[in-house]
Amino acid sequence: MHIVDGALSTPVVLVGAALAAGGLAIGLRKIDADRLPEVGMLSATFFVASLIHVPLGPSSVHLILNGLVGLVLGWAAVPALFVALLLQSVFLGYGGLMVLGVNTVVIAGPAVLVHLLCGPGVRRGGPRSAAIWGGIAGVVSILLTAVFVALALAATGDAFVPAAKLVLAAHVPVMLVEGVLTAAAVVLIRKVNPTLFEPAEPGAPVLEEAEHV
Amino acid sequence: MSDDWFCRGHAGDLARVLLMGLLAAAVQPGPAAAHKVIGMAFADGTTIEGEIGYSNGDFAEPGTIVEVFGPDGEGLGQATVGASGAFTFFATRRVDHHFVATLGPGHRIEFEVPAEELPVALETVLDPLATAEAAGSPPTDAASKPVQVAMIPTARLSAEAIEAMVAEAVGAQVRPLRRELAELREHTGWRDVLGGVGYIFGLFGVAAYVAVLRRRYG
Repeated sequence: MHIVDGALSTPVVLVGAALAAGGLAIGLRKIDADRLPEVGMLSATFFVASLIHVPLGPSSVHLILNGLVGLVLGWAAVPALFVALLLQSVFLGYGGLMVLGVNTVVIAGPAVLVHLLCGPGVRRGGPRSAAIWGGIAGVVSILLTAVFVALALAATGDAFVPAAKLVLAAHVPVMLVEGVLTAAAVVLIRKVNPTLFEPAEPGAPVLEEAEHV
Repeated sequence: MSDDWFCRGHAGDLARVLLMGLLAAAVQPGPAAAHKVIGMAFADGTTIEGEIGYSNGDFAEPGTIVEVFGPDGEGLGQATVGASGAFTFFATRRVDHHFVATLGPGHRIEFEVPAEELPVALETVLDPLATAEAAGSPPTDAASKPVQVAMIPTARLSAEAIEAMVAEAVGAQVRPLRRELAELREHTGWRDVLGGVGYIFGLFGVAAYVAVLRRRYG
């Protein structure tokens, strides 16, 4: 994650920006006004988690938590993650403004996919099956992030297989940690505040469409 | 420190390692940093010394190629990273030196040494007359520096020799400071992280305010 400016070709950067803009439009429309604080909290969680690096073996890793963010927020994960990535690139020099679109797709894309794939499993069933679905969400979100990064690099000219191997290898520890962490978070949330996983009510006032209510 | 945490956890099982690592990071996110590539270079006479590494303290792999470009994008040559991420490049022209290194997919760094940091003597060497005098012996290493000075007409020798000596002495004094400054600039600390969190909360606070206004006034 955090592909830097200059590492990708212009077409890749443009496609990433277009996809991110589309995702942002959908995400903003889907934010339930009552749940804005949750979006902010999870945005901040991602911001901090992806800055803190944890020593692990000879190297170090940092959490991404896009699986958890996606499970809770669904499409609203796109604006949440975009804001955090924007601040990281502007204030801290991680990533860059040019590749912000690509980075948003790489991080938020898997979040939305995981929401669609594992969301129902996390909401329904007993705590054990919810934990398993949560674990799957944590692992798959990082796996998809790594694949997306490799795809972006491959589209720029790096050979896909070696690039993918490198990125995947670097993300295996994160995958395991996030699997465990997301499963634990899912179990905790279901116990403490199960409404977090409920999708916005169909009639609920939505940020962009508040005037229709 | 974080290393200490890891070593103690290593004796236990994997879960304990992960837990302690997370705890260590939560307790002291001092050098809170992901894997950003950091590069810097300083001129010492005609020798440009640089370092490339990652923000987590790892150095660039020995053998990594650093390409050097001039102000108009023309290639000036390349340098190879040795131990501890260090590389050396010998400047032959007094122009802006633009360094580019690629450390594997997606990891790329660019940095610059401005022409002002290089000795004025290099301009003299490039002067057609002086180049003829120098007879194609560009200063390629430290040993050839005195030779180059000797070829400059005697009237200018003392002034330029003194200038070179002063530049060298000052450079040696200033180099560690510049390195520290460069590291400090890349450092992400508590304040940066908390500031970012504050901005996020503020942004979503404003969004919530707008949402409330919309609902209230339609």
